[in-house]
Amino acid sequence: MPKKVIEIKDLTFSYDNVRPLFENFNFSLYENEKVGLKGKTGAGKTTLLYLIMGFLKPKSGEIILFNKPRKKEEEFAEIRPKIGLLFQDPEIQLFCPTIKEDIAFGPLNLGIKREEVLEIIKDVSEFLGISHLLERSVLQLSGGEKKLCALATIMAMKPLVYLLDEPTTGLDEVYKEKLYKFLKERAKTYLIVSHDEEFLNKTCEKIYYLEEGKLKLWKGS
Amino acid sequence: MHLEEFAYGQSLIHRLDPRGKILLFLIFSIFCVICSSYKGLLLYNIFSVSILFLAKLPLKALIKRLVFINLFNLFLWISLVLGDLIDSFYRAHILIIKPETIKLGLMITLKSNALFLCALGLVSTTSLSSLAHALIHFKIPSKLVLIFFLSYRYFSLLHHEYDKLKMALKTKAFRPKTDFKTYRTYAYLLGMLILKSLTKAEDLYRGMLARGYRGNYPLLNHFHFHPMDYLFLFISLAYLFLIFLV
Repeated sequence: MPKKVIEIKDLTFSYDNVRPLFENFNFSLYENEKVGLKGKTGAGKTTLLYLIMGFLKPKSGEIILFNKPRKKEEEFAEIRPKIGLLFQDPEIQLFCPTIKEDIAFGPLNLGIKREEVLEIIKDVSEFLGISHLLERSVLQLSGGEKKLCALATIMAMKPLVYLLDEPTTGLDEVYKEKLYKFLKERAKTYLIVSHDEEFLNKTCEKIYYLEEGKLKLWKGS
Repeated sequence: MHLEEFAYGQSLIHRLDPRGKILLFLIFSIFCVICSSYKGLLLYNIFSVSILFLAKLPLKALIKRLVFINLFNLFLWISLVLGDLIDSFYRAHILIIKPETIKLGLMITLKSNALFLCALGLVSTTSLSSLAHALIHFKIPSKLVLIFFLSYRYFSLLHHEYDKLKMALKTKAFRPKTDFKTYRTYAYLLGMLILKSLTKAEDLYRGMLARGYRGNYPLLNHFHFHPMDYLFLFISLAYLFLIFLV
């Protein structure tokens, strides 16, 4: 029986206390599940990811991550390394002087030794084909390069679940192929938020459509 | 905005450990500021120029900066001299510049040039990230160092945002004039920049939290002192100490 890694129960959330974005919202993501999420702009897709990561507080309801309800910041901080969130804007994830240090930031925070971190950097950068970008600053990268480097920073932490917010935005076919390769070989459980229907169909077994705070099954069972 | 114009190079000074350079600059600053002899200050200036010579920095860029810093000294001289002239005229209806005023102006000019040139040679030849790392090695609280480093990182980004907003104004045929509409537009521009910087700061914080940030900035590469660092420090400190005794 596959384990639930993310579970949301009866969640209510609103930005302005007038129109709730989510009302008694329920969602589950199981181990080894590959799920896509699409919906209109402003439906709340990114907000859902932020709620899962504990960046936003729901008005009511429960967020259960890896079988433990999470409410306080300490409870989310403990679990965040296990959930790799790729932000829609890759610049949010790239703040160190060089890409190499950006990739190292997460593993070093986890207490991994320097020699091992260097091995991780080598592995991740070779896998994504960004070894030539390691000594560059984020200010010197193109949009697609930033996206791949941002992905490298979360891959380096070896999370158990990936949450990807619009991962194909700004990527050409070459970079998209690298993304497909990553999802096929290195990501077992993931939730992808995207408008790119072709990408979702190719990478997800199940696709939901988010509309007015409710999920409708679009593809899969 | 480029604060690291001189940070990258292959000279002896560029290859020195940043911690040694910061320490040397701090000691130099203290000795220079407390020095009260012209001979000593000239020798400190010679030391600073020697550092610049070893750093092989482009002369044109150096002169540009030297002229800029001495413009301030020029204003200082003007205010000192004017002060004397006004004072002497008010008291005795004559115009006199006191020797003490000249001595003070000269002292400030020599000190400011020595300090500025030394900073150019020792501090600006270090990249900001190395400076930040060196400060952490000196046990400066990592939160302060992070604020310092991220401020520079995000000045560049905000400058970029400012350029985008300016472009947006141009596409709407905005032409600045001396009128209320222009002032209001600039006020909107400033307000948007402030809001964007707040949003960027919040997003950055989330990005750091998502990668396990708990308040400490981890270092990937650590500095190591080499024999050349020790030799350079020894010679420099010996020279500074000799000047101090003179």
